[in-house]
Amino acid sequence: MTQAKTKDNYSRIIKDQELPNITEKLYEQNVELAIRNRTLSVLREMYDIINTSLEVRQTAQKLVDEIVQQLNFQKSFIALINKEQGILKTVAVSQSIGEAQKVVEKFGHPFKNFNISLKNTENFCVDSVINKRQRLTNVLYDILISRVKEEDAKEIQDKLNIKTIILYPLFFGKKVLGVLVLGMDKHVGFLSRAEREVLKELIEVVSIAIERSQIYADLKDANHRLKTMDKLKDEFISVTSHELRTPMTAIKSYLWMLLNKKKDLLDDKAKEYLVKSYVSTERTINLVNDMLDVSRIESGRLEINKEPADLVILAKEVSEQLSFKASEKWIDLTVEDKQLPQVICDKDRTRQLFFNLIGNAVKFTPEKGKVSTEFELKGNKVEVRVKDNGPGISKQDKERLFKKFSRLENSFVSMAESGGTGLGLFISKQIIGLLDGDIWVESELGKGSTFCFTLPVAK
Amino acid sequence: MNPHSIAAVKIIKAQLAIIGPIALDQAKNVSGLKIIDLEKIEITGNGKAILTNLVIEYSKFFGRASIEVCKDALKEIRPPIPQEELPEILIK
Repeated sequence: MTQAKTKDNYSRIIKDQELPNITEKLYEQNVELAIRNRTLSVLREMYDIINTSLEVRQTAQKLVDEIVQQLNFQKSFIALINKEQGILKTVAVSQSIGEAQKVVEKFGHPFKNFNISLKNTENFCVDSVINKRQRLTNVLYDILISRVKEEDAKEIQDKLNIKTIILYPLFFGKKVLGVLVLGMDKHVGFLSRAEREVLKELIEVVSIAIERSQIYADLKDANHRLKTMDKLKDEFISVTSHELRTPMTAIKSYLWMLLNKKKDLLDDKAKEYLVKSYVSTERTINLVNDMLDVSRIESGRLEINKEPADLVILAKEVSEQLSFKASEKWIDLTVEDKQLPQVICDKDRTRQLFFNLIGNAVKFTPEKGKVSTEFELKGNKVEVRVKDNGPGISKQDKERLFKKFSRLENSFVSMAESGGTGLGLFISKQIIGLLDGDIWVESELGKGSTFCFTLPVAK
Repeated sequence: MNPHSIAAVKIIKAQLAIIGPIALDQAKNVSGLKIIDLEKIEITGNGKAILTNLVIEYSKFFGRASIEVCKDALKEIRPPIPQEELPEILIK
């Protein structure tokens, strides 16, 4: 045989010997893949349950049913810790059929009605959660201690054909949630590799599912309590505001009558005291109204009725109402007479907005000053500008303006004298936000202020 | 189906998951084994011997690992097949 032929034969022998090795190695890798694939397939079913179930019992029931189906177990149940009652209590049990069903009925559904004190550490389920460890037993009575008698447990075990019971404590982080109990018709050593792999991965998924359901239950409960509290708060505010407003309105009316109908009977001092009382009363009523509005705004219940409206008309109505106050200080109060398209707004709330802005302008403008309301169409919005030649606002004060109970440096006395609440601009901003507009201020100390807002044009 | 047919179904399915359709081709080489469909197989003759031949057929190409897969597959059968019904190659 030539050297070349020897070499060829040698290569072929090597290849022939190596090929089976390679084939076997590939096969072994495929075995691992097939087991992994099956595990992932089972886990996917579990994740589907997690994603589609929210209630604890519903989730737990679907899980035990899936486990029994996938792994052909005889029995499975999940018991969770109830800390308030200090017990371990079943939330889900896999179904039994035929003779198995009859025997569990005979003994009062010991798995379904499983309810064991956490002090009963003889019971393997309790031991598993207290000591945070897996348990294994061939005796069903070990998990039914204090539920049924030993001989009854034996009968159940025979009828259910349970040879081994595995108990897995369910953890989420360091917290023990409960226990998963699995009853099989064979010994642990006879589990296939795929079954062992699935079991290993399963426990973590079950724990996640239970914790998620419990969080959902807690959130639902908290939500319900919040809604109840919210309702109680609304009722309280409503009743309180009514109970405050009614007598305050009566007081205000009587004060007004005294000041206007009986002023001849009053000396100057008395008039001064009565005016101050009237302003304080008005301020309290305004405060109650504003606080009601703030409460509605913050709970998302401020009602807005959007409809087309003429801003110039609304501004003129409010200006008319404030004309008396303006005339007391000889303030020139004007509203620009301009042809404008209608805007989308809530008429009452927009009047309230004008009242806040024009009212503030009148309050803070000195005697013989000027307050004007002007309009400009800018694209698909109308811009309103309420201008005054008052003291102006500093940069620091501008930042606080639209917040609750904001007061400018020199405004406290004015507020007290004029019945302001410190909530007007905050409420104005919220109203404008709900009407899809913007609000801002342009001002410098010593140069007056212009409060501006925009509203969308009606299409 | 008799226990040997049940075992054969389980073994072929396990091999299918690992090596694909070749598993069926190899099973067809086993004399006395007739594959009706994936859930039904007819065994004509000595069931134990036929099962042995089926396992050997896989081990020819895939070695010892394939025998372990066959044994493992039987563990999932309910109720379990009595050991006396199984060939030695699937017990050891």
